[in-house]
Amino acid sequence: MNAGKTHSRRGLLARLRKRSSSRWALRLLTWLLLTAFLADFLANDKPLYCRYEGKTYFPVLRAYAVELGWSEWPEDMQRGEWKSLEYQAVLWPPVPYAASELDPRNARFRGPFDEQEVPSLRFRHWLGTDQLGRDLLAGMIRGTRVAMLVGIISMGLASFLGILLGGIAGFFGDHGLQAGTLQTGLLLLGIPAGFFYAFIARSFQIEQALAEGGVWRELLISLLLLMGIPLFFGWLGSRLERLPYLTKVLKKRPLPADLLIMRLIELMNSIPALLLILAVVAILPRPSIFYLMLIIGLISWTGIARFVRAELLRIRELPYIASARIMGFSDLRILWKEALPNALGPVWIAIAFGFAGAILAEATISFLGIGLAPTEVSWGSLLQAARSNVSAWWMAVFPGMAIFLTVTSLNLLGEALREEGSKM
Amino acid sequence: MLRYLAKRLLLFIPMTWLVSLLAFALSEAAPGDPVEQICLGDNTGALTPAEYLRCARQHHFDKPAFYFALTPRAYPDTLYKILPLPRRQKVRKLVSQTGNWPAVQNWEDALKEQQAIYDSLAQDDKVLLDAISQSYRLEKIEALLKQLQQQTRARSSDSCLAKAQAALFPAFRQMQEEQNTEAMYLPSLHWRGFDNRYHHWLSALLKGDLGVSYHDRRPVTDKIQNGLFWTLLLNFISFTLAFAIAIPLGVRMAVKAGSRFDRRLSFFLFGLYSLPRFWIATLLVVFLTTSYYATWLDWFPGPGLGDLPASAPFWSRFVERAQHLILPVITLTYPMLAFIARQVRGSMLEALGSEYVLAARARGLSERRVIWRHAFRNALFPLITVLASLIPASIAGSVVVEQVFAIPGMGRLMFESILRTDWPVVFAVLLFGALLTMLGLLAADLLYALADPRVRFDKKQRR
Repeated sequence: MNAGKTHSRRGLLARLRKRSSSRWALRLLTWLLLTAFLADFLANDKPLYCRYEGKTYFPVLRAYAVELGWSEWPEDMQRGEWKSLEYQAVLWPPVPYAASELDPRNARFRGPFDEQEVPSLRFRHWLGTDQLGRDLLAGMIRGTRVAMLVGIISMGLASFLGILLGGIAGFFGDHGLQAGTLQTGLLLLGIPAGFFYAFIARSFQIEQALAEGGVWRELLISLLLLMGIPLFFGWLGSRLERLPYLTKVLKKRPLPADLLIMRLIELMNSIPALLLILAVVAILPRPSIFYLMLIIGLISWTGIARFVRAELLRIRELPYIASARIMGFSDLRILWKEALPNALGPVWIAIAFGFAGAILAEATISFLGIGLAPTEVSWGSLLQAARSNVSAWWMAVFPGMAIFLTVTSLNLLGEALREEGSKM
Repeated sequence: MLRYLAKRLLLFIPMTWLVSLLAFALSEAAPGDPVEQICLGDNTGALTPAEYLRCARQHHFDKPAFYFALTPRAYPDTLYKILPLPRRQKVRKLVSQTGNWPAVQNWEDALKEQQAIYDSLAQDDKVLLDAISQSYRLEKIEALLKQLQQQTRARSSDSCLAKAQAALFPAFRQMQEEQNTEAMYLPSLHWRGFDNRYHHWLSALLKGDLGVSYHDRRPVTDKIQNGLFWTLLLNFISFTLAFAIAIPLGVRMAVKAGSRFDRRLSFFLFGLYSLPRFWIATLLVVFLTTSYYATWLDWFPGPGLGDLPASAPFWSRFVERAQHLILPVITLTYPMLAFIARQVRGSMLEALGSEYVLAARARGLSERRVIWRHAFRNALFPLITVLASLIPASIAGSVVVEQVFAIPGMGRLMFESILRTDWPVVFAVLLFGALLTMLGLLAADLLYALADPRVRFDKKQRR
């Protein structure tokens, strides 16, 4: 084992590409990410480009500007009946339907092979429609974006929490963090204080935001208060303890960071995740996919934390960490600059499996029919439609296939990373 | 060993307590008026104020939520006594905005005085007055009061309304002008004593009483017991099946590691493991329970448990139930099977590569004996932990499978209770699921220690 060797991402990707299975998985994921990124250009009810009454428009691009308030629609386009306008020239997106667009002429489950009432092949619903005539392919493209967002946001949050907590637990252990009585006391005082200012004093603002929107700003402020106040109290304690008289009186005691964090992980793991997500989602006043991402991220950091902790337990005993200590680097610098970069290799395993798990969890919840706002579409919610109508086989087959392929390729990547890791 | 057991059990108690705290906190945060839900059930209509008060007192809603409370100094100490609950919420929100409890109290008193003239008012005045007494945003109240002013002017003869307006306006002005929002940011800690809702909930819980369902007022324990039977039956069958198929498969794959059989089966099992349960469940329902696509595909009955009356002969009822359970069992089993088989293969490979297996072979023991007696016995230990780690997944699986196949188990109970906002049932199932998971983990650790004499927990393992 050579800990000095850094697991750079480049090297990791190169090693993964040697396997044909991970090559396929990477390729598929790249396509999915591209689809997610370009979803508006792939499926939209607006043309990509058109000439209308002598003027040139790029409606898909313009929609962004309108959303940002930089521009407005001309009168004819304001009504959103894009397909009834008479263009001099027009270029439609590959799928000329938006995910939420109703096509009443093809409502009530038209299959891919059924006869469809469309002006030309260009407007055919290639994967069929649902009860209200919404295009399945357009829904799946929108669903790709949702699935990728779920994975990225929830895993981003989970990695942050997991690396932070796992890093503290593994690097400091039960004896590495020394704190004086005053500092510990102030820190313990800071936790309820942080909670008070984050959630109790601001309860009205948060409730209001939950009911009326704009909850992200409020939650962010609350989170900053929740973490900032205890940290400030701890910092204050450490400053105070340097006062000449107090240094003599107060003793330093180890803070059992590892024990506390491991207990927290055990607690998180002992609550069945799906039940917890269901219970939390159910009490939110206005459902939205973003709450789902947040909850999944808050629940699934434990796997990453365990990996980081195990790696750091090994790394902190290595000679190069000891030499860094001798050179007089601070603990935080050693953890951040020397130890953590070498511990992140295995995190990618946990992230790959966690990504798959997050997509599955979101799909399960939306398959059950809760957690999404009525206007939101995900692979799971598309699949749900098949339950109410068995004759619509396309609603059952295609969205499920998308989930299956995504989850499989992520699992394949995780497995490959694990095997690569154990080889070293 | 005993010390370890004691330590684990001692840890088990605070963990369960923390989970109970979480379930209680969630149930407190749940929307809706629980008093109405409990005492009204599914009856439409409204409770009279007297009935409401009686019901709220009976279910401890006039008591504090917890042993202590950390509140802003602006809140009155008696906030938890205000009934009905929507009014308590409204008062809390008004105090949150103004930070001035006496002014809010004044406003509430002014509103209460209007009850005397309420009956003599015209219909749209009543509506307006109701709107004023229910809204909690200062801006909205102001707008409504302006409307009141206009209506008063329109009906110059109606002195009742003018009186109401004269009483309400100064009270509102006081609230609006004498704001003291700093008091919201001063914490104050109150000790509430043992006569609180959590204490009552917890002591009932410890006696095995989980409360009553909001939906049909049946005890939650009864509902859970009914559901538990089907969930346990389904999971017992699928666990047994999964292990019975996966162990021989895994062992055989490990023995023939690297062969075509092994590679193909590994690939297949990997795919099987990644197949989402809810997708397979949907596909099975869509294609195998109807004759829509082909008459010969209608192999299984549709969702549900069958509709033979209880008077039908036992045997035919048994057969019907069994037919209805085939698809759910398949859906629950296959991911477990794939997972276990891969685990067995892994731990068997490790065992087969060890020196004691080499020694057994060198002694000339038969291959069968080497595999099952020597290698497999040692490969079994990791499987004990696998068993425990499958519990959360099988709970999640049960929710989906029971929902798709309409089986009245715990998962479906939980889900339907969520849709009906029947919180006592939801949080009881959550608590129960967590308890089951923790018990599984505990049992696995203990079994592991019992089975493998090399594992010693007494020694300090930490560095």
